[in-house]
Amino acid sequence: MDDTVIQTDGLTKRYGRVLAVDGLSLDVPRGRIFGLLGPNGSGKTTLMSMLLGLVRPTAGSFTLFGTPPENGGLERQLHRIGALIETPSFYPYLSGRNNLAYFQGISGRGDPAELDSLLEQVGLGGRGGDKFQTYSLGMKQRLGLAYTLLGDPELLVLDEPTNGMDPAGMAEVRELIRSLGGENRTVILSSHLLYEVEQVCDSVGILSHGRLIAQGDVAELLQERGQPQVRLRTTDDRKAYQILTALAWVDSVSADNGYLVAGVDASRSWEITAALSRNEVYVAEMSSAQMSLEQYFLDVTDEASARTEVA
Amino acid sequence: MAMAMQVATLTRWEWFKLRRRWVPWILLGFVLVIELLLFWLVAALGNDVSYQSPRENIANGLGFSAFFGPFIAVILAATVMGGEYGWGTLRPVLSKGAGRWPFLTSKVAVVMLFTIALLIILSVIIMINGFIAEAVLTADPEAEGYGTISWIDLLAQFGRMVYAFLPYIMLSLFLVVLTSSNGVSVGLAMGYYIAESLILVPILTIFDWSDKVFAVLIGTNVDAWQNIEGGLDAGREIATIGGISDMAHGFIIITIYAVALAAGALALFLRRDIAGAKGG
Repeated sequence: MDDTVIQTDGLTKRYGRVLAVDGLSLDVPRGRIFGLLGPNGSGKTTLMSMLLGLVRPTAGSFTLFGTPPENGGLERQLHRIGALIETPSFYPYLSGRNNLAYFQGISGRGDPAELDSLLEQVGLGGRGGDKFQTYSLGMKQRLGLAYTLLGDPELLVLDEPTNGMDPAGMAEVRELIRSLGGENRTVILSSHLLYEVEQVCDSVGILSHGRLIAQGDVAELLQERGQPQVRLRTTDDRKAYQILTALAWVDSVSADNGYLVAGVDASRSWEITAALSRNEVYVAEMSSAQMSLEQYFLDVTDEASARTEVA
Repeated sequence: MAMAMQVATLTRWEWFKLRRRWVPWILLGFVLVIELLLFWLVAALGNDVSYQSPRENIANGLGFSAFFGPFIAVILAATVMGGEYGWGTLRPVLSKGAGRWPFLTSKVAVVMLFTIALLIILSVIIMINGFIAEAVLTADPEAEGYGTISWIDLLAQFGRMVYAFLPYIMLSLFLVVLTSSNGVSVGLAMGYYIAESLILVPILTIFDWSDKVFAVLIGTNVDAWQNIEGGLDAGREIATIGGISDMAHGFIIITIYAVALAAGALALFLRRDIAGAKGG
């Protein structure tokens, strides 16, 4: 079995003078929850649309499950994929259940009993008989999720799946996505909510101006770039600032939202505590602080934008 | 074989969607009311239908349908395909591996199936009304023309009519794919139908050189194929391809239109990128 579910090689899409995706080469390993990040217009949706055969690439190639999509093979591969691109679009005059029945019917996978269990799974158990046009945006998103799960696909492609949901719904969906990933199933999650991606995804690819500017495991990316930090609150933050600044092994000290942030590895926390207590300043709260995915994302996209402007 | 099965599956599920929409039922109701109104006007005022057998009644009913049919076919074809663009449902459909050409073929199949179903329903209802008319208005089996149309004739008329709708269905489908809009395509296709029959034909009748244009118009060939008055022999003798009969000429021309428009629609549909909902 191929360990790479999606592999793109120099994939490019040009709309007139606009280069939406620019020579993108990306690998998505099997069994991972892969986050696709990027500012608006960075090419995320175009990339996903090309992989699903909705948009024709201008150049480059890709494989799905290790096979190129030529010669009618894409339709067979699509039966192994559940994908929802942008806002969920279904037939407004059909009920949620009938919409699912239709898509299950045309894909030729799954049995009718699956429909009710999927509706239950996404929290639409009581509303499956109502017409799609009466659904709120959050309910439409839930039906979209049920649609992607039809036929128990090996690959899920989700574009902003929590858009329009209330906080409780978002948490539910995050939990659902986490439970879906792993083993033989791969999930590609595109989202603007970086907190969401950080919580759910194992690895990420970051797009900017149609180019892949970073790719890797979330933890590794943050570790590579982020300086180790310790956040603390003390009985006298002003004095603590002076003490920490004077310590040669502390790289930096700054104030952030009521906390002091010291540029030092968390393994030296006890030395900070000792240094402060010697000067009669006592630690009230202390934790290891890692660079957030949001900060990482902003840093790399800003750099990419700067490079594009220079070029 | 696998492709044929795929088209059959898609057609079945297109039917599932179509029968849950309002548009086909409104069209059916509209045509039914108009046909029954015409039938009883002719029966009561013209004292005509009462002298005919049920088979003649069906033939008359189909004759009415020949006029309304293209409108129905155009609206239906535009509705079943235009809705997909308007709601943005092409994305989830094609993402499920439906395949572009099987999906488009299933659209044509479902429109044809509905048209056949509509004509059968109309024929049965007209026939029932024919029995009522005979009973109420006193039929005269001795009257001239009574019972001259056989069931075979009726079946042939039925088949010709269904086939005659094909170029209009394809025209509408082509325009939907071209414009990605239900409303615009209905407007253009109906506009063509009306412009051809009400404007182009009367204008062309004035000029002697226009015979060659007449010979390739959709409307005149559809009429010629169905052996309806107003076809190629309306007021002039138009040379047919190789001197064949008007009906055969009509068949060839409407087949060329149907194939060319279908090929155009398919070529566009296969090549174009699929966008989200257009809303109209």
